[in-house]
Amino acid sequence: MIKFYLQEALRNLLSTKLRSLLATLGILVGTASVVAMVSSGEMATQQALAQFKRLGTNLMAVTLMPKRAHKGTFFHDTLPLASATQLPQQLNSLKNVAPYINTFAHVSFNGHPIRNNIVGATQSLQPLLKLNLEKGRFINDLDGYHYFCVLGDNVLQRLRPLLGGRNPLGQNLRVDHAFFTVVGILKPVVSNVFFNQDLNDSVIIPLKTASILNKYAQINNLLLQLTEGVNIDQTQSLLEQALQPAVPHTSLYFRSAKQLIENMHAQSHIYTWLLALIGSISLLVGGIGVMNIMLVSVTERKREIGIRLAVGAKRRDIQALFLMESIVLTLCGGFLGIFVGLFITAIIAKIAGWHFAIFWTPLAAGFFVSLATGIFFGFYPAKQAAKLDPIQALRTE
Amino acid sequence: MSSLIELKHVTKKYPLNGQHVPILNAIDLTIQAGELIAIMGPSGAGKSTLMNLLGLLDRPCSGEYHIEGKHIATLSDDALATLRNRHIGFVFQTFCLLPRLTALQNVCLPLQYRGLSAIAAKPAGLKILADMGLSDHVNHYPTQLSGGQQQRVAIARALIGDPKLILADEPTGALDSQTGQSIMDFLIDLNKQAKKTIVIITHDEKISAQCHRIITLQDGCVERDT
Repeated sequence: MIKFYLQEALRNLLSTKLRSLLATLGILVGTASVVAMVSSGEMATQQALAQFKRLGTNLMAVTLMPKRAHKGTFFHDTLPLASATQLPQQLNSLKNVAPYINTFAHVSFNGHPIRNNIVGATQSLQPLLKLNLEKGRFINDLDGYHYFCVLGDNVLQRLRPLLGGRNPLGQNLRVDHAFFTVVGILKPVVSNVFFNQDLNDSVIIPLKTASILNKYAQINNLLLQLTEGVNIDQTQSLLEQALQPAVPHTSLYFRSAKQLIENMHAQSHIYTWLLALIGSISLLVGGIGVMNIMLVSVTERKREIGIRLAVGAKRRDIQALFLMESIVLTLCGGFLGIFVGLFITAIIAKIAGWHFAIFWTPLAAGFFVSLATGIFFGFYPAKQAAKLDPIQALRTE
Repeated sequence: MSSLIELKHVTKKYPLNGQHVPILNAIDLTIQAGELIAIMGPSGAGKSTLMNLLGLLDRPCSGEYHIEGKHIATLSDDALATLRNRHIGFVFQTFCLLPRLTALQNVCLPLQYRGLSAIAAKPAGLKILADMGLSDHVNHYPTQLSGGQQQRVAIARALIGDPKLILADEPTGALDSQTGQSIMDFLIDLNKQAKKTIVIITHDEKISAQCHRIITLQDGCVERDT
């Protein structure tokens, strides 16, 4: 029977080609927008997550903020370097630690100001952030209190015109009142949420040297690499127990990759749903278009309905006939819409410079939502058709 | 032999300006299998309403209608549709063919509503169109056929399900007298050879004169039954 309904539906739809085409187009646009929007949302999420994936999901960042003592003044705790570097020996859940100092100082070359960001780092920062060097070497723990520095990519760009073609390595930069010898140049660094400073804009110096640069310069961040599969909350409280006694007047703020990823997933879920909703509005409009066409079709074909009833069609046969027509319309629109949606997704990926990927959820969603649209918006006209009085219907010209 | 159709005190009213106007008024009528009947009467006498009732397209407001011993008030709409499909063939004044279907597809429609596939129904459709002398026109659309040809397609459609009762509403009304007579000859032949019960609504005395029994309606009542 389904085959019979399908044949009849196709015959009827093909007899009003332009009208069917326009109704299909409405559904096509709706489905395409659902597919494109949801796919783009997914792509954006993947893109955002890629930076974590690159660094590994087992990173944790701790920021140390001095508590307020009185109005306008703050406590002045200092976390000893040893307390930080000994953490992996104290806690099994830690693999590696990179304490660092974020501070600011006047940086100049031959009297020309350059950038002001200073990062005091230990050598463990390099493996944790997967930093690559363009030239020279990174900070080494043997540097001690030496006046060495490693430059970020943007700093080098500022410096280059002042060098006049000379090798930047070995040049001396003035930081506040001291001269620092350039020992290395970083390749451009992709920024990430675990590091509070843009390394491309920074001058990196040994942590110990940084700690004597000015009285505010002290360890204010820890970057930690956790052992695979440890409990984040537990590690966090162990860290608090280990660190807090050394710095009683400092607040500790923790950020872990796992939590950030979870939050981001949750957020992007809402975001994706929102996009799907916006896309669905056009599908809704398309569905109303289909309903309109079907209602017109029922009115125009009253006589046909009467004839079919007279030769023995049951009411449900009539209902099935019209329902089938709207389902065929929306499925055609849905199928084409999926392809158009993918095409639009590919264009968006190209423009945004994202990696184009096909996600199955939006495709399946596009397909089933268009099917559901056909059934939902076809149901009322089909019911109307099935309810017709055969005598009235036959009498219609 | 039991009667094919039995109407007992059948009344049909239609609402008009808030009042229920009786179209058929307590009609008693019995039709035996194999009869050839003409129903006559002026416009508004209730001929079409009677035909719709006989054809199970409508139900009486009161009174009883038995077809083949079945009391239709006890049957569902679906059961009536099945009865229409198996036991009743309609022939209309305006042919009532589906314009988007070929002659063959139109003829096969009743079988398809019985659940037969297009392929399964095709041999029967071809045979009956051949019987009607339309072998050369099976793939023509109604608009490509003359009035007489269209009416023969319609008769083929009425006959394909092998019904006991043929209801013809002014079957010759839209045709010239010669073509009309050929259709009439065919119906008479069908009654004689295939023993089909045929009820014809007509204004034309030449048509009614060829029937065995003439029922004349007047104001919703049977005025004469000869």
